[in-house]
Amino acid sequence: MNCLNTTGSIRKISNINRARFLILIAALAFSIRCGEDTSLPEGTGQAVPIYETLSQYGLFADQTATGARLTPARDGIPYDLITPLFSDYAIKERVLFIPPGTEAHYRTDDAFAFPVGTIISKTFAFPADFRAPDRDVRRIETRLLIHQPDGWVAVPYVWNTEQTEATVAYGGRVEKVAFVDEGGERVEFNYAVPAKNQCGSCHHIYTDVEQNGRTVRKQAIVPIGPKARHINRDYDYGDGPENQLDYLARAGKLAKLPLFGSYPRNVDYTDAAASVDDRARAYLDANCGHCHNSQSATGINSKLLLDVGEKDWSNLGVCKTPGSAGKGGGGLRYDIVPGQPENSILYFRTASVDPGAMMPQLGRTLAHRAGVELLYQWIAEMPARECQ
Amino acid sequence: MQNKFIKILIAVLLLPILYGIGIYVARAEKTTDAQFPAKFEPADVYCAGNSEARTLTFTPGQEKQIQETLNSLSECTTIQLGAGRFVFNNALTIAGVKGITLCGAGQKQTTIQFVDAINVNGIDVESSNHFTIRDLTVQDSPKNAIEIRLSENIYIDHVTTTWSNTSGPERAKNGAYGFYPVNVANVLLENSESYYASDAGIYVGQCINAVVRNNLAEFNVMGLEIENTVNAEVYNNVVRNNTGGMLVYDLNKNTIVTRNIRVHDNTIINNNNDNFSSAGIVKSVPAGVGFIVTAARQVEIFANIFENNNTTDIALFSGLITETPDFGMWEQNNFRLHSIYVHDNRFNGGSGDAIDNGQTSAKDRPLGKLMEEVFRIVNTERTAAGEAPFTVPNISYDGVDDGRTILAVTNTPFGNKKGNHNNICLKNNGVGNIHPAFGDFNLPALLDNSDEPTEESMRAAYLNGDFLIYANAEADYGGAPEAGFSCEGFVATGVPVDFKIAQR
Repeated sequence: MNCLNTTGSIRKISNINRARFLILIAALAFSIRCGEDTSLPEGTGQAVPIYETLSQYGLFADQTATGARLTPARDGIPYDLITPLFSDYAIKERVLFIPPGTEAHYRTDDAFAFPVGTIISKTFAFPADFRAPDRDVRRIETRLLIHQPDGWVAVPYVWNTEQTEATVAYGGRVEKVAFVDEGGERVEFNYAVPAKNQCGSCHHIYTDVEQNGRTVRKQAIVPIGPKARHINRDYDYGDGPENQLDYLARAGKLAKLPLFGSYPRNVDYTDAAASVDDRARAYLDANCGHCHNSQSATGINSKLLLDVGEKDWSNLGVCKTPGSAGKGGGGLRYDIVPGQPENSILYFRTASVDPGAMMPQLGRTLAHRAGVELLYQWIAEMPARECQ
Repeated sequence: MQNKFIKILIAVLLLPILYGIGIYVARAEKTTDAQFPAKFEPADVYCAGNSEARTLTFTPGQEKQIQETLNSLSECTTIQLGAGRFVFNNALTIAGVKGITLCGAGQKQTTIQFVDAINVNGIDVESSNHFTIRDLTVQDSPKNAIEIRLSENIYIDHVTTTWSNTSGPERAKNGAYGFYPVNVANVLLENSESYYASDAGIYVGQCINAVVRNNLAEFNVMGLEIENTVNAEVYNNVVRNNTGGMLVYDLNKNTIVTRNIRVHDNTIINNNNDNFSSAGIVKSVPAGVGFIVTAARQVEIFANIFENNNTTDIALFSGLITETPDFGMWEQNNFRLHSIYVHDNRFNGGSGDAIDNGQTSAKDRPLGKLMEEVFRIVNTERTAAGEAPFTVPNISYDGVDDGRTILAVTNTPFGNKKGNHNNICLKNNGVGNIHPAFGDFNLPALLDNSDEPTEESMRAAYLNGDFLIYANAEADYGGAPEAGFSCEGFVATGVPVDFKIAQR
């Protein structure tokens, strides 16, 4: 859509109240991508010191309190995703800490533009028994994504056995985890806390920059979850369910929202009322799209693009031969063979727990039963055809 | 009125020309604009005179401290590992920091071993220019032993990569690659050794300017592989006892298109090991292939020794050998193989002694099966005609060229026109025990434009004179294109950056 087209129609509807019309134009400009306000928010300008322990940041009211959830201190705002990334069934608590007096700027497709000084925390925890997920919860790690003046940094903190403190673990950690799953079965596995450097393998985008007269590809760390389409859902902040975006705006923490129109929204991948296609695409977007997109090395090299905005079925893997799946290909020829999930590399790799084949490559040790079943159904229900 | 007529006439004349230009441009081979640092600067050169440069030393038992250090590195840090065995359960990662050196006390003295590790590479380096790794061994990484991505000026010296599974099907569990620099500009890989990788021991992919010299690749599925790389010099390497020795190869659709590769003074012998790969393209490589060049261009192969590679010493193939022959894909990909210059090599025999170790598999390694079948059928005909049977030649060429011309747009997109349209050049290869034989298999004729060849299609190809073996190739391959091997217009200039390094 061309932004300039709207000017031609002004004369035709000159009898409309001019002020109202201008608002309409402004809304249009906001709601279409080319009109998005790309200005960056004002931040603190100050680097956040990286502390040895989590409590030094003062992010949570009483860190030593046991219980299902940590209570954010300061003006932390918790939020949930509609369809989250699968992380070995871990329960995740996400909190946004936007510095007082600053606000984030809305983006339609990308993660919101956060002011310098913002901290996003994500705590990974396991209940002893998923049939009673609020009882006997063991926190494993809290990851902080900190917006410094020269970009985002990611730092992992690992909780002690007493559950009173988390200590920085630059090198990551392997923790034994055991729980009883929803079906009553006991699950034991090695949970991997990623090293600091590994955070960038998911949280990254590439940009080509000019340097000394030639083009050089640079990597930058970015948040993944806080995008409009992932968090456009309700959360109970104490006064009953409220849309998270509306709440952030009302709290003065999110600006530049579209005046009219709606925010984009992915479906909940478990929502039986949604179409299988929408559910699978939401699942792929959250679990694969952070790497498999056109701004990331994986997407660029594999040409397999799984973010929700992708419209080309070949880029989504249909009858597409992989660039170099190596051992990951499982001896199969195509990423997706419509109607044949068992002959599709995409299904094979998401269902696999073989280190050489499994996808995503980091962040999971177990297979995600519900997610894998959904992808199976999605491919099975595609109109069957042979790939040639 | 007349004016209008002229305009129509011009339009009518112009349209086919524009159409022709359009087709020509669409079919022109894609090339890569190579951009790279003008000087090779490994960590020690880059960090010389840097007052912040520091060296941190570690001994076995300090693995946790090493991990903490690697994840909070400052520019120009040297991580010096003492003698002994360092055991890790997670990758050693280096990201976004320049001038890092990771070194041990020697390949045989310092080992980095992975035990109970998760789904990771061993040494994993990203966006870290001027990185040097030397004097150590990496053992049992779940994935690649040393992977370096998106970086410049990378130096690998005196490093061994290996795995503990050294025999039987257990080897399939070994990590895929030993050395894996990918998307790197200016990489020097020397004096190193790679064993038991379940894909390629030494891989250089999607790189600009690579020098690979004085290395040993042994007991891997593929020994040494150069993929989608511009400007490479591969010399003085020993590549032996792998399933396949060396590979120069283009993945289709990759943005970096191979060109200007020089491969010389290597010893490529005894590459007849069974294929233990569990998956991937290398799984389809038959045992006994010395050197495969696939869908590449501007490759100069000279002064190498080929011996006892029992399928064939050199295989020259188009991209159709690994891809489903989707005829519509021809133009969009650089499938064509061309401008290959093979000269002054020594061939000591072995080709055809045992195709794929005598254990061909149509399902897993169809290429070996195809060769076996076609020679069986051809030799049945030859015996019946009272002629001596053919053996698999030292140099096997699939004979696939671009079958389309601008005017004949509806023909099959690949073919085997009379003549040497792919500019295959052979010269002075008779320096060894034997003068190499050359075979033009004419894959399009063998397949008869279908996915699978049949006994009839292969027999017909031979009887039509489309399948040709030349005992003394240089003299009589009919091309030039009409006369002999074409060495016209072909230049491999070598790497445009000086990779000389200071002696230490």
